[in-house]
Amino acid sequence: MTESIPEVIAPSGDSADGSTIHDLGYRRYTGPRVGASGAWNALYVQSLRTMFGLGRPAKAKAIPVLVIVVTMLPALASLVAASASNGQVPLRYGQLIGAQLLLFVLFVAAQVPEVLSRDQQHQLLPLLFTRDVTRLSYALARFGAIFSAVFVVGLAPLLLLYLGEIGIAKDPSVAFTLMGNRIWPVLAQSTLSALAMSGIGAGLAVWTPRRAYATAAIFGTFLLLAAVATGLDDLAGVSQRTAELLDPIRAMRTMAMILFGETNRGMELNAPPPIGVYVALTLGIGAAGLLLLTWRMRRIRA
Amino acid sequence: MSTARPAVPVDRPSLGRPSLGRPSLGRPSWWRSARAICHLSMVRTFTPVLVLTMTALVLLPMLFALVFASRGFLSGDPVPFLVQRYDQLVSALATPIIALLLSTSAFSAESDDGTLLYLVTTTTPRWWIVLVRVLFAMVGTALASAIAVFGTGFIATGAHDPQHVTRAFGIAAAFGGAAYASLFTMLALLTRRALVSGLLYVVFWEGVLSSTFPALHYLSVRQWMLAVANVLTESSDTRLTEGPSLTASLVGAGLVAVLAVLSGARQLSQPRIGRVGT
Repeated sequence: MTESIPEVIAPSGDSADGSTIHDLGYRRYTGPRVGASGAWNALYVQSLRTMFGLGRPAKAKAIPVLVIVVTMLPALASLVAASASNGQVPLRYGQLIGAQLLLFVLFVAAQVPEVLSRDQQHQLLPLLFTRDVTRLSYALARFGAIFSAVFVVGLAPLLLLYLGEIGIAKDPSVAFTLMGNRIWPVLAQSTLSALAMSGIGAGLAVWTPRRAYATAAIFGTFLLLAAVATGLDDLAGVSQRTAELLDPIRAMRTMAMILFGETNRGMELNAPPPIGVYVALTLGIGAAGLLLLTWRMRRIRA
Repeated sequence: MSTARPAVPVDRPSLGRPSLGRPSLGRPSWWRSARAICHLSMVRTFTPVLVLTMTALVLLPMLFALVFASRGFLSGDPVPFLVQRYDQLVSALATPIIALLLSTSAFSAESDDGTLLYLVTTTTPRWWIVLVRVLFAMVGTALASAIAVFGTGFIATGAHDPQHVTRAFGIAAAFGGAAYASLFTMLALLTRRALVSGLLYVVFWEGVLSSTFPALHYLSVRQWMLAVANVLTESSDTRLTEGPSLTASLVGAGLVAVLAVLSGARQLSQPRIGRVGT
């Protein structure tokens, strides 16, 4: 409070129509100006923190913590089983992560509306768009943060399995040379599934300012697609593998199995299409979601 | 909407139109208050998005039946086809979601915008408000599910209904719809996010947990529904036979319905209201 009021600069610029801008003596901002990239970074960091409920009350952290804990537990349990049996019980990455996919959907359905719908609910978009944030950069920052959060949550159990498998070996350095290439399927699986899930989440949540409706819409979409896929399942004329591509969860489950080189009885009886189909499908869903998001941001009144 | 006149009409001399004088606050008329409560529910429920969703859910199994029927004898045995569709598309999807929409929309919207207060501060007993809402959702869900089941069965097999599978599932879906409706009405009064928690129940409790821990079949509305269907049909599909017994299901559904009315009435004595006067 002891700081002096900045000097009043006499307004000298009389404009053409004779009006003047009076300097009323408000304090000016003298810090660094970070511009468009600074705005983008701020938006990205804020969205990432919101995805995990950081900086918000404990209630907002409930779902992220629950999902992370519940998805890590089976990985930990199978590591313990593998360690106790001296590697007799194999670690099945694909099967383990496939069973967790629905929990990642829960994470997306609960947290993406927090990031996208709140701005519309509290009419914050006009405030954002008067700064160095364009509609496109808003969409990209939000989508980037959503993708990063889902990627981290999806990677965590796989990484735990990977590091654990090296850790429980008698000779970790030998295990590492054996397992070195295993990291690529781990990264590919978490990237692709995160892309597809955040695409669906972001593409739907941005259409409503009500978070509950957005969550319901995301869950409803996954439920409905699963139902349509099972409905088509044994209808003559539609093969099971074609129907499966309609259901993102089942498709991602099969994709994980192929990526980690595992099979189950269903896959032996009925060979799935090559991995490229699943990669294209997840990339396509992600791109479609991003496109929907940017399209909506371009048209929204703010 | 209806804030201009009292939400629940009270007994007054029948003059055709309500008189503008002071209403005589006597005992409420059961029939007229029920009609008013139902009317309020309908106004909240029959919005374009919800009606469209419910119609789509009812039409979805019929669409598959149409594909099935269009191939004639090439399609094979209709019984496994119908059991699979009724199980996956009606009892796991259409019935719970329609029940969820019908039973949560009214109470949730009213506690959101504060108009629940106007409903509660009438002379209508609170258990009556809950009971009427439960019945409204029950009848609506039962009707919609029955339409889905009988429509699908009729398209796929015509009128002759092999092994009585359509009749069995029609009755089972109506029963399950009633159980779901009371469960979700309770949810609408007890939790703030009824729609989301109902969906979580459907996806995780009925889907994931119930298939991992078969003991939960005794606490799953979907399995109760299958148990009822199992008794009424001659088909011995494994989907049907591994559920709980019929008595357990009936007792369970009855308990849920009673609990919904009692706990809902208790909750309404301290209604949770989001905004008042906005």
